[in-house]
Amino acid sequence: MSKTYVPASLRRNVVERAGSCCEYCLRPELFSLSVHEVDHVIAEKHGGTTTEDNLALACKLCNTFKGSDIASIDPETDEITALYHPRRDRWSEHFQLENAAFIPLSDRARTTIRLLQLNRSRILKERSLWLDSGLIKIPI
Amino acid sequence: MQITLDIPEALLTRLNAIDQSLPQVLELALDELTARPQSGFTGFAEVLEFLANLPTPEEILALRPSETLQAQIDQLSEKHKANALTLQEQQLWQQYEYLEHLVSLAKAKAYLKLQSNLHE
Ligand SMILES: [Zn+2]
Repeated sequence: MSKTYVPASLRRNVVERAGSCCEYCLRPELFSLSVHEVDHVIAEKHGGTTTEDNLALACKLCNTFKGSDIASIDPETDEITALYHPRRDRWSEHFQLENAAFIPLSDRARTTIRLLQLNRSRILKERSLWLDSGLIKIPI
Repeated sequence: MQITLDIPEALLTRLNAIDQSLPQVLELALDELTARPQSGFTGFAEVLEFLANLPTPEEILALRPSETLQAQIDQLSEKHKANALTLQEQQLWQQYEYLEHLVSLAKAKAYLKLQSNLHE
C-alpha cells in the first residue's frame, strides 16, 4: 500500500536488486500482466519508511494479498507470526524450492506462504515455466 | 407513490411471489444496474481482442493492461487490501486472478518459444 511517492531512481534500485522478480513468489516481471510494484515491507501505517531497507519488489497479486499486514496466523501453531521480511531475513533460511513448490523452513515462511498463497495450484504451474526460462532470481 | 406498469404474464406470477418486498427488489435492481459501469472488469474482452490479432511472441511479452483496465485492477486491489470488496467485486477480483494466471502462462511460453527459436 504505497502512500508516499517512490522516486524513479529508488524504484530502479529496488527493481535491479530484485532482478525484476517478485521477492515473495519469485515471478519475473516480464511474465505478468500488471507491472510489479514497490512494496513497503513494513507498511507506512506501522511506521515503515520509504527507504531501500524497507522496500521490496512485489507482483500485483502478492502485494494485494499482503496489503498492509506485517504478521498473520501460523497455520501450524495458530500463533500470530511475523511475515517473511525480504531485507532482514535470508530467503534460503526460510524457504526451499522443491520442483516448483516452496517448502517452508520456519514459522515465518509457513505464515507467509499461507497469506500470500505462494503454493496455490495455479502458481505452481506458472513457476515451473519461470524456472525453465532461467529468468527467475532465487534469493540467497 | 403509486406506479402503473404493463408487464408480461410470466413476470406477474414471479412478482406475486415476492409481493410485499417489491420496493426492496426494485431498489436492489437499481443498485446493481448503476454499480456496473464503474466496478466492471473488461480484462477478458481486452485480452481476447488482443489475441484476435494473432500476436507474435514478442507482442505477447509486451502486453500490458490498458489505462482503463489498470484503473479497474488497481481499484479492486485497493479494496481487497482494505477487506472492502462486495460479493460482486470479489467475483471480479477472481476473474482478474484467473486472467493474470492465463497471461502469465502465455508470456512464459512465448519467452520459451523465442529462446528455442534462437538455439535452432
Ligand atoms: Zn508475487
